[in-house]
Amino acid sequence: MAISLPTISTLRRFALGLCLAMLGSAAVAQEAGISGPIEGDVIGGISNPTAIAVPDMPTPRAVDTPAGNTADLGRQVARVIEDNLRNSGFFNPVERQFLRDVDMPQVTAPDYPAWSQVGAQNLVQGYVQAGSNGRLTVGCYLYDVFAQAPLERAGYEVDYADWRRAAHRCADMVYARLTGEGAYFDSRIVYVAESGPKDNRVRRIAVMDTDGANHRFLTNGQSIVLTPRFAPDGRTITYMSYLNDEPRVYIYDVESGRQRLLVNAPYMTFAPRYSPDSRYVVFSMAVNGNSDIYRVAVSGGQPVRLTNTPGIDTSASYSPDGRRIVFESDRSGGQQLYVMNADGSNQRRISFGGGRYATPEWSPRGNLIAFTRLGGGFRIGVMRPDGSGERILTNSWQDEGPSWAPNGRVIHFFRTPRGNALPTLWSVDVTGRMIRRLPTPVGASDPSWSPLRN
Amino acid sequence: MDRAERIALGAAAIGHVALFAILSVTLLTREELPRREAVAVTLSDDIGAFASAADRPAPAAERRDLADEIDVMDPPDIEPLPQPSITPTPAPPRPAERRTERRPETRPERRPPREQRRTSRIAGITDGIGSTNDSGTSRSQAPVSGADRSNLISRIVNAVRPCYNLGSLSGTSAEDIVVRLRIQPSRDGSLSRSQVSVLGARGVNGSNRQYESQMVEAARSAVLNPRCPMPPLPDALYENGWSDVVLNFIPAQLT
Repeated sequence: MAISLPTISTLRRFALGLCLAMLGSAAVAQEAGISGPIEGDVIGGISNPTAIAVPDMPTPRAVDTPAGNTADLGRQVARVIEDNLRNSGFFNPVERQFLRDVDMPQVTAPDYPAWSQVGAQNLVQGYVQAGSNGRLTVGCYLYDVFAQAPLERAGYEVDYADWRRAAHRCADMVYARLTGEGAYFDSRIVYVAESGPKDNRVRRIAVMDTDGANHRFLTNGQSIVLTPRFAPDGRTITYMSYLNDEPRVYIYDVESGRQRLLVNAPYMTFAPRYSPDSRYVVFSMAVNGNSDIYRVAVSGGQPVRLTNTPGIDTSASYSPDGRRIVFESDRSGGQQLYVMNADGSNQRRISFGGGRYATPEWSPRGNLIAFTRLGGGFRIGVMRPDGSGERILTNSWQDEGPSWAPNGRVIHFFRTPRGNALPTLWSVDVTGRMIRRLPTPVGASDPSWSPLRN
Repeated sequence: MDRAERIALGAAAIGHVALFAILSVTLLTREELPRREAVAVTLSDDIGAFASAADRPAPAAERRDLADEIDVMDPPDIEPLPQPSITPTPAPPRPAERRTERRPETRPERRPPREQRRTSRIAGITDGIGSTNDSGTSRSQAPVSGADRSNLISRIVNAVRPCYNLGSLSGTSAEDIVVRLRIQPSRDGSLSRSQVSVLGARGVNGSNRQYESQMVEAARSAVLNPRCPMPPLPDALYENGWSDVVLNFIPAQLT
């Protein structure tokens, strides 16, 4: 086109001037009664949990299965979905006394006015069906009641024993669609279960679903165990054990239940964490009173030292792209957070907020690092990987050990009250809202979230 | 129409023609489409694709046909999940896991019919609006003054705002997104989804793009929420007034 840039620029300036002139004339015109949309600003939204209805799911044919009758399962699947959504803090399920019975035809054709009447903004419906292949199918449908429109649907086929997972997946679909966040309900938590008096405490590694179901102890409590961490592929767990009074890092195979030593060295090894590809473990090793961070293949082999400074370097955690590692070090006098490249180069301090910082964990989104801030109590906080934007999320006597949910929106940590009381697990939203206790059968510390299950 | 009005209208008409010509030339140099078009199309596609059979309440007479559609209409893709890895024993349904105690919740308010609400709430609400005609009987298309338009939009914004619920989006980068909606209520004050259109969203960037649909839906839900209906507005000011409304949903004061 044969139009020179200065000409375009001039035209744009003229257009801008004309726009401004038009604004003036429009104002005059409006006063004179010109038609056209009236326009205004709705400034400042509120923040309340969304009202959502999760009625019992019907079954096309009531069939007895190893997990119970499909009619009962339909009710229980709805309860699991409802509890997941409620516990996220973002949803306020309509009380069951106001829910209507849903039959199969209504699953795909909801009675919107009726659901609107009970105050539901969104509606989750579905069905539970026993398949001829010995598996259970759960259909899951999400609707926008106000807009009278379906939003999303999905179906899940599971073994009967895994019916809760189908419910979690349905809740994940709803959560992800309505919040814009990633899913996280269909995941597990490994943690240290604590029982007994403080001077003779029994510590066992335990694993449970995110909602506390399917709880299981993995170790027998004869040895003290610390810092269990799920592998990103969910197949193994690494942790530190005082087995035979020698504190060492072990790898636990979830499938087989077998455990093995990670590094065969005559030194204390501790604070392990996996690389994002699950191929390596970074850990700390104390050699002659100096603790540095090392990396070793999960299968074993010769560890590679990544730090080499006087003092204690520990709590290493990979960035999700595997290119950097955040860790804590007292090389400057007190514990502070540092970031380095995955090969140990370019180490630099990122925490400067006063007090001490410990147990960092890099968010699965990569945008934040969660940590424990020490000084006037222990608190959970987050900051960007360059150390900026620090925010403290909790305020209690002793909150520590943050672990990110797979979606990078929720953080688990453990809280220890004053005195001899047992610690407990808690979760907090990354915005600092919705702090909630997670139910565990006994005391609990050192939580680590699994990845989303396949 | 007096002289001043004619001058104003003339100026506006000439200005529109000139602006159209200028922008037509300048837009030729633009490489990307206006953001708001992409938003509207995306949302429409998302919703429309699912809207066919289940997009309306099913009268009892239709239920039999719809029952057949469960098989006929494309069912959800079934996603097989792998064998259990950590809990191999079948978990029977455990009634004990059900919550026997529910958190106290506010009983959902059952709304009276719109006409009843309008009657009960009308006292004092229309003060200052359309004082020339508030009977609701006139269908006059008389010009609506700037003051009336200002009062109308103020009433509408005040009615909608309590239902502009950001929920999980609050405190996130989603709050940088401003959604622009156009609503065209019926004369009786009712508003359905088809009378709401998305004109665009601005402030969308790499860090909050994941929340774009949710922000649009939060705005749409605000105007469709039956708890926040259109306020009673004078019928005389419907045409050229509240029959066509544009609302900008601004989550927080931007700096």
